Amino acid sequence: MDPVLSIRDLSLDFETPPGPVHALRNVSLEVPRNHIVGIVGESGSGKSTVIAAAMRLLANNAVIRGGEVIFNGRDVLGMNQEELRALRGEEISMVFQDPMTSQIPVLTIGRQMTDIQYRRRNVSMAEKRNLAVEMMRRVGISDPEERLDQHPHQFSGGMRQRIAIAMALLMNPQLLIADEPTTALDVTMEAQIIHLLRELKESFEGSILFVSHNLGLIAELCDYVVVMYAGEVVEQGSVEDLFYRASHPYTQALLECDPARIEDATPALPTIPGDVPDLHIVPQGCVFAPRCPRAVARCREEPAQIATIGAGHRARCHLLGHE
Amino acid sequence: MSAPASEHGPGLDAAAPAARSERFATLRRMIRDPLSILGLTLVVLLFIGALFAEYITPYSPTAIDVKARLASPSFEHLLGTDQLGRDTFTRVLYGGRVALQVAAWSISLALSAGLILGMLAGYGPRWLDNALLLLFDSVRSFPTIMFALAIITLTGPSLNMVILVIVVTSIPVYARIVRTQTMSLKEQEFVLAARALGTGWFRILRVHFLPNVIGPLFILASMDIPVVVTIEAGLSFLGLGVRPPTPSWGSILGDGYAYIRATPWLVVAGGVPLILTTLGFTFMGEALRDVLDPRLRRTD
Amino acid sequence: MSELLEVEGLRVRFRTSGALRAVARREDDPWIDAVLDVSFRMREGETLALVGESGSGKTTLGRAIIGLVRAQSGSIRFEGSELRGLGDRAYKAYRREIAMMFQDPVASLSPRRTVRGQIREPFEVHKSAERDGEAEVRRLMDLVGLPHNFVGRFPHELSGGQARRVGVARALALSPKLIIADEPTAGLDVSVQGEVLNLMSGLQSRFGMSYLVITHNLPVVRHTSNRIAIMYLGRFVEQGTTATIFRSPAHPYTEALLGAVPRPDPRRRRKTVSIEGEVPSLKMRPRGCEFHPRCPYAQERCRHETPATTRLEEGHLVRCHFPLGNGHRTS
Repeated sequence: MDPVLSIRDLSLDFETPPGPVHALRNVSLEVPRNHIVGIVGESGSGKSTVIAAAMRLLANNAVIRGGEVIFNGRDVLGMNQEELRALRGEEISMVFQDPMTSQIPVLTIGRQMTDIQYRRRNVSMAEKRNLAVEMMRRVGISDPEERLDQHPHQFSGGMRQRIAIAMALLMNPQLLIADEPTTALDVTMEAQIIHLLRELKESFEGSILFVSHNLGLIAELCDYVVVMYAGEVVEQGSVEDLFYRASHPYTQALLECDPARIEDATPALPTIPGDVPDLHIVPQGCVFAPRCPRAVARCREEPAQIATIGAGHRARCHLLGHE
Repeated sequence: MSAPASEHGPGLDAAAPAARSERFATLRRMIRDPLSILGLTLVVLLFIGALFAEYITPYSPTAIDVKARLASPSFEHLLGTDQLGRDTFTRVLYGGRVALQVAAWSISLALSAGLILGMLAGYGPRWLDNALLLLFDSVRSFPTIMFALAIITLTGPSLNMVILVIVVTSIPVYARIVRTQTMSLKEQEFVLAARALGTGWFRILRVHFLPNVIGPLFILASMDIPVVVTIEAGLSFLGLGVRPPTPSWGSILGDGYAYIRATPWLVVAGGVPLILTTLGFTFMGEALRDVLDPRLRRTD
Repeated sequence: MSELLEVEGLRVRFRTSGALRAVARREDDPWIDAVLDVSFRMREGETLALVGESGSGKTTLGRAIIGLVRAQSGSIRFEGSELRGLGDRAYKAYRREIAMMFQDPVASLSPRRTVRGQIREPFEVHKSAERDGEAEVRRLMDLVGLPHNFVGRFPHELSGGQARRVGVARALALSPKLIIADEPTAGLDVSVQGEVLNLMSGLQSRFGMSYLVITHNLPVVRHTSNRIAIMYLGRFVEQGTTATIFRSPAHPYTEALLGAVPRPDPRRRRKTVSIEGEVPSLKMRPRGCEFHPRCPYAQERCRHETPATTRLEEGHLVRCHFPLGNGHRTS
């Protein structure tokens, strides 16, 4: 079966007064049907730009330089506004980072959840409300009939994120994009949301693209992982590939830095020295070379090529044999 | 664990070195914008005319030349003369001086008072805020011109009264804006950080809040100058502003109105400077906003 | 090593609504307790972590210690002198000794002041003009690893990690004995997190100050603190050494918190959620043990009787009727 979303060689610039920022460079990734794909990266890695491009929710100063975004065999980059609205409402939906700002404060949850279904023309209002009740129940909200008449501020952050997920799933999308959905929540609530996403994944027919900087969550939830650094995909593969057979020096460093992976208490935590490069200038060599502990002369001179390590496991690094 | 608050494209590290040159870029953009150039030029011309009136024109604004009454423009009298034979161009220049004087005094007084009262209302205790708000709203509920008419009828026309009226009615406008800004700043974490260091309220207002609220206020003040100039002109037109021999755009306009059948030049001479001043300061205010307001600067 | 900070029975209350409104609505109790009956001690040179979910009162407790919020009762003794009830003027002297770092690295810096201004602020406030200001700024920037050419930058021109370093430099300026750090790694990437934590522990071993770290990030706490106190609804439910807390948590809430941390190991995915429900509102504290509605081990007694703090071993305190023992643990 072909993937639900496939991004091929996507390159994108942001026009800024000092000159273009090369925010994405030759990004390729796929979201297979009925699977959870995680994108992991630090700030400035371009992970949010990738999902914005996938939904064509880009800032005005974004210029696509090349590549394609294929959703269900259709080219998203070539769609007109009407097609895009249909795509976003019905086929792709999104859960954002901050549950406190992603709902309309002056409307009841029920009103918002029935409004979302406006495209279902021949479904009665009562039926839409029933669907909303059903969805609220599925995301673990008790007494959904009464709670539908409440306003967003009457819910806690965790509850609002559950509601956001319910809203996102209401139109049975084929792809749910979750952008750091637990970052604003406490660990206990985070664990509940992750558990909920996994449960929902069992019951609804669709894929999830999960964006996070938290390796623990990626490991808990995802089937496949894409690692991004400074606008490039540096490594991708199954979750096991990434956590047990990490090949790119950046992935390795990222894993080493995670304090949750360090078993013994240590006063000196590992770090990645240096800064994320200024993307106004496309680096001549490998983008990670200035911070890479294993960089050799070649890494600084020529761009790294993608090396295949195993089935579906690829990394963009000179040091991985691809001769 | 929580993530960076925003992530749009490049990392902050990448953006940081560019920030300095960004400010110059804004200045450059401003200089390239024809409207801000026009605004700046008009304002500069107005100032030069008002400040160096003595050197620009050989006439005195009050010198009467009965032989040359209501003359049309000529090389001798660039804008003609009025009903008493006074050189209109000279009177326009000196009238600009009066207009700027009124504007400078009233705006700077209103600005300082509004700044202090607004910061006190925004930062101080709730009761003070309520009391000041009540005061601001009561003052603002008088229509400016009616208020001015009432006061001047009681005290007699004078420039100082015009300034007083403008100051009293503009303070609430500035104070309200400062208050709103102060209140939003007060909620921010850096205030707690300053208090945790032992910083007192006075220093918090002076060192931390003032630079944040003053920029937008300058923009507003620049846009308010034409309003003030118009109020002064309006009162002088009605004979309630400056006293007769002193030239003012309003009184020139008033004379022109009276002698409109004899010559159109007085009305033109009194009206055009008002229009140009309004345009000049408005364009300049908009240009200033681009430079001074960091939020707008950062989003473009 | 001697006692630096002793907090006894501290209580911080907030009014939920104005006094008049409370009377008008005939509310019996317009107050909520954000911090309740908290006692602990800190020694010189040690790091204590306050851990809890949002709404647990950990930030309020930190702010009460530095006098940003008033404590209703109890005592805060710093090097033997009582701080509770002091006015702003009297507190100022202690704000040289106690510094605080705030959660948001950028927003806790004054937006229109340069890095130089931020770092000089403590000297200017405390009139420490005897020292050469510019040299002090340079020295502090060196200490926190900021290049000197950053002195003229404004907060919005800094990355999160850089802004955090400015915050550390500012906290360090007057050589305090205690630094209260509210979520020092919030908003930072993992790679930068490590840098900031290493910087803080390096400075500690050099200058010997104590840290009171307020956080919800347990994996970080494990590497950086000597002792941990777990807060729930404004109370300490458990405190002990870091090793003890991680090895054998005695309170079911501590156990649940530890269990909620995601494991970066796809072969050891959790099948169940360690803790259901969410923190109750402070306005409606549950009866008995306040954790019982969410506690998987709750028994009849927990519903009625408030547990007292008991000592399991030296320095390990827990507020639970049935502390999880070695053989006791079910999971």
